[in-house]
Amino acid sequence: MKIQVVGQLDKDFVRKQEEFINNLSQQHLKTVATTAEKVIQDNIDAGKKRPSGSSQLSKAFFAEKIDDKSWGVGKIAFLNQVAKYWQVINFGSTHMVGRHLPKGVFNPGEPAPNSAFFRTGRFEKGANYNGEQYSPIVTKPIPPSNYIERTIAQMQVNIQNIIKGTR
Amino acid sequence: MTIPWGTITNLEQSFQKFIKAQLITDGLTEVDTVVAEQLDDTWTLPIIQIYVDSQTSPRLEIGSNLRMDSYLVIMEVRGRDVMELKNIVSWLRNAIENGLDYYTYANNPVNPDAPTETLTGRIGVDFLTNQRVIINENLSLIDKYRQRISLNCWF
Repeated sequence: MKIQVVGQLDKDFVRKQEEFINNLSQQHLKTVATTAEKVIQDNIDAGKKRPSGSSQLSKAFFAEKIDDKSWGVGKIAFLNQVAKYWQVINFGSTHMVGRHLPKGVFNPGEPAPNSAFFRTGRFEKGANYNGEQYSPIVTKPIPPSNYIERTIAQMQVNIQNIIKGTR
Repeated sequence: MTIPWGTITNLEQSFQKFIKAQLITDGLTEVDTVVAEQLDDTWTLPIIQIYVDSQTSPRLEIGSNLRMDSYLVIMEVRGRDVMELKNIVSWLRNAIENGLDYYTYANNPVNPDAPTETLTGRIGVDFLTNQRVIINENLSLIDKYRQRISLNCWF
């Protein structure tokens, strides 16, 4: 295929092209950022082990425009304030093994662990069951959920599709 | 019933086989390797932990349903101090950056601990992340000096 430009270019041709490319790249950036926000939130929510959570961690990740050329998803200073366990959930850790959780009860459940309620409820700090409370000792490491790496891997595919316009 | 080896376990074993062989070649026999997702506090440091986390399958071309299977591989290096950690990470990065051989495995009823392996292809590697894991808590030694390398792999 051969492309030939005949005649004189419009005097505004270069400026118009620049404007077009800038607008397109800004649109692409915004789409990439909002897609990354959705993907990371889905990855976090998919890794939840117990029902009826507040989704505090996934809500703490949102797309944010930094300037005309950059967007971010997941501001570390903000995460450290509102969901400071974000690293532990992603990377996993042994730091809680052997430690007591604050007193409370499983709901639904009883103060003491009951296999009938395995992963059906959440531990409620400070709550009691007929006046009784329980302070579980953590015996297993927190497993890694890898939601950051999964998002990066999925976004490599999504970015290609966004640029191709096939999304 | 014997379940045949799947792609993910083949991939994990191929990685471990390659890294183990490279460690021996380079005289780093003190470094252990393990295929496991969950941490086990009986591991001896230094160790390289390997596992496949998930699969992503991008379309090969617009409008096509043909997909290229690719896999998210997580490798965590755990050392006894910062210097050891940095040196192993640097070695590991250089060792795998050109890819590695892909083997498929089959159950060996005569010797179950030694599955039959067949060289099937080559694994391509793209680095996604390579960062120190720093968790601001009172950590045990096994969690203290950690670095995670995540890879996008295909074959």
